[in-house]
Amino acid sequence: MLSEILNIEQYALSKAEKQPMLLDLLLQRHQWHYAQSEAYRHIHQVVFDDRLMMDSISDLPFIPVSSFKNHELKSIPDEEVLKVLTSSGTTGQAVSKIYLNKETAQLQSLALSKIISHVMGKTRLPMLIIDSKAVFSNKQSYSARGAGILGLSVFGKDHTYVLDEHFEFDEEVLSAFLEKYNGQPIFIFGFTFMVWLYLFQAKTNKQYDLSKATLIHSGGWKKLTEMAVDNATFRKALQDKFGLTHIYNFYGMIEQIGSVFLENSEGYLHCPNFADVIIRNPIDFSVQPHGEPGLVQVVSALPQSYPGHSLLTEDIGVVMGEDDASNGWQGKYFKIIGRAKKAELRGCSDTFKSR
Amino acid sequence: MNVQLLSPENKTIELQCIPVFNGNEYMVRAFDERTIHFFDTLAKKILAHPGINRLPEMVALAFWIRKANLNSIKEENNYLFKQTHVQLSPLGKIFHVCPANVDTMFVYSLAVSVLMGNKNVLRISERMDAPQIQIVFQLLNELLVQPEFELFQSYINLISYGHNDSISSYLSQKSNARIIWGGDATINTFRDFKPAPRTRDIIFADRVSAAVIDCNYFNGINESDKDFFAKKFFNDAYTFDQKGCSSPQTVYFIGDKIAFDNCLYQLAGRLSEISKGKYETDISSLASLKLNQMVDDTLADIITEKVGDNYSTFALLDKDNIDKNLHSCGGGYFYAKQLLNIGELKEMISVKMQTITYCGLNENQLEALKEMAQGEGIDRIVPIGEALNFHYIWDGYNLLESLSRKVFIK
Repeated sequence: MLSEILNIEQYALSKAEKQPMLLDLLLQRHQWHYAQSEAYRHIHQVVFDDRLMMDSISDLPFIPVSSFKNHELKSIPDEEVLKVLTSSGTTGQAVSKIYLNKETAQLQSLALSKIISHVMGKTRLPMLIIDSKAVFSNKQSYSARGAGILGLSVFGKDHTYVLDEHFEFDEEVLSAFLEKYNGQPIFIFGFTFMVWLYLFQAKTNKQYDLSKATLIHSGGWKKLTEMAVDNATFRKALQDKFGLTHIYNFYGMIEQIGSVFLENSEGYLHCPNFADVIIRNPIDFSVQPHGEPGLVQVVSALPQSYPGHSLLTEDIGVVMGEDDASNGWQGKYFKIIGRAKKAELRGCSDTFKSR
Repeated sequence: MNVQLLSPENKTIELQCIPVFNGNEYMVRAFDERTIHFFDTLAKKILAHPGINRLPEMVALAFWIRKANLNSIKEENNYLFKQTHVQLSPLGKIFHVCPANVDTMFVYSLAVSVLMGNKNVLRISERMDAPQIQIVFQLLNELLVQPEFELFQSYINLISYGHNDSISSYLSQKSNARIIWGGDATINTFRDFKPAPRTRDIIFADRVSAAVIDCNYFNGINESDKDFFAKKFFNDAYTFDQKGCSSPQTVYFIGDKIAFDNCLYQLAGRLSEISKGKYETDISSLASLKLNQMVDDTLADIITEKVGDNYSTFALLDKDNIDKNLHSCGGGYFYAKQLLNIGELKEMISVKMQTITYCGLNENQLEALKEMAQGEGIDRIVPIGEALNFHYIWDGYNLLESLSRKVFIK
């Protein structure tokens, strides 16, 4: 069943076809985690009333993403852990820890390749990575950033990193790569704000033609919003400078790596066959109708080694439509419009927080 | 060393030059007519401020510093002024370290201190940006330049500075008393800044507060009375995002299981309705914060069940929970526990217990509660709705006494 939903062409399942398949897979995941993870079981019992009847995907419990920072959530014995993914938090901040076994890691890279090959085709292209190799310095545990690059590297060859080991931008490396493949199909990948800083804003000696290139970027808009750059500005700037038009933003989280939501032709984020989003009313967590904003819940059939198949994010989003995207893709599509302010509530005992 | 002076006027100033340090003359006596007039005028200005009715804590503050109330406080404390052989004197210069969020609290302790004739320097957190407090600053400064009140310019100095040990040490050395709001962490920080040997510390440490409701009483009253109590409870809990030391963290429901369920659902539902209209904290953030807290509490085996929505969330305490000082994430996340009788509350009283607000307790139950306060915990027992009402008797101090010096004369 899982291989079926992965192998069917992505974005080909309508709601009526997808929902029963995905529900079935998610219920299997739920039962697995309920049996294997005491924490998951406990959360379901206390916070979700130990709900037994689950007629639709929205009946599944959801784990807040921050829980992966405060707790060790996994559904496999320690000896089965292949690697631990961590979120790239700044110093002092708690980081999410995601425990992967072989099965889940393989599922995730397979799933990612199904999505990316849908827009990239199957040929390996010269790959420009707007990042540094240093993100892989630790083999046992590496960040979501590293996992993202590694997952996508299989679609490229002649992998070229434009930041050196000290995360310093090397303009010569960039120019040499663009010179070599000028006007040819290439694959560019990086974090959204780094693409802006090191590709768009780089002062290259010459004008390069990227009209046959494909850019895939991710990581959120927070930093660029501060610089007053939104998605439309971003796209237009890259088109004007390089003729670059094949641009795909994606939304995904470390807790569900592999289940990424790729931008469709209208710039909305599109659910693949094996994942979905549900928008939750912040007052009572009821399901919001399409068009109404709320907290974004993401579900994915992939996570087996840790209870990450149903998560409540801190992002605020809106479902924009289902099965009717202009490029013909089936499935739900949505946009992210903000983030729940993480501001902790302050009280009397907070006059002189130590540095 | 420069600090930002906020009152009597807004300017950057050399620390040694703030007006409090101008001379050692104390011109006003305890409950001086001029002081009372000053605060009464401030009260009138606050109440006349546009939109003030939307800020209930400011209205409460204004009523507290009115002439009538100040005079009755004087009356209540007459015994202090009439002791044989005793003359009350100001203590001197008072250094106040103010809380960052419970905005109006420090104005009360400032008022008491000025009433007793002390000169005051207040450290205001740089993060204190609430509109109500900006109003206080503005009105204070308007008053202090008027000729009749100029005399108070050396009595009320509000300053702000970042984390600067030298400034904090200097002020600690130069003051006769320090009033430290802000809980254990702040107190420990300031204990490192050695005060002069005779400097008195009046500290407001981390506290926890609770509410006690008699379910049969609540279930028995009519709908409008239930609404009335729910509103009172709302004010106690939500005014400072449930982060005031006196705001209830845990609610104890006295009654059998049926009465408890009934009472809990009715209260939770009403609080949610009130919050939808009146509580302005971003609901998406609350939803996120509370779900995280609930998962944490679940995995710590503290709670067993959830009741309510993200505006009013009740987490039912596990019967084996032994933590008497639980603090939630705030914003209307209450721990709830059913008690068969008031006596069972005794086990939950800790040395940190500050305020118990009650609803529907009969005389015997109240007596039992008072009995529980004979020990190390509980500093206040007040009806529901009065949790945040400031009183000059606070955290076990009579601030009027603590902020004055008794001179023995024979």
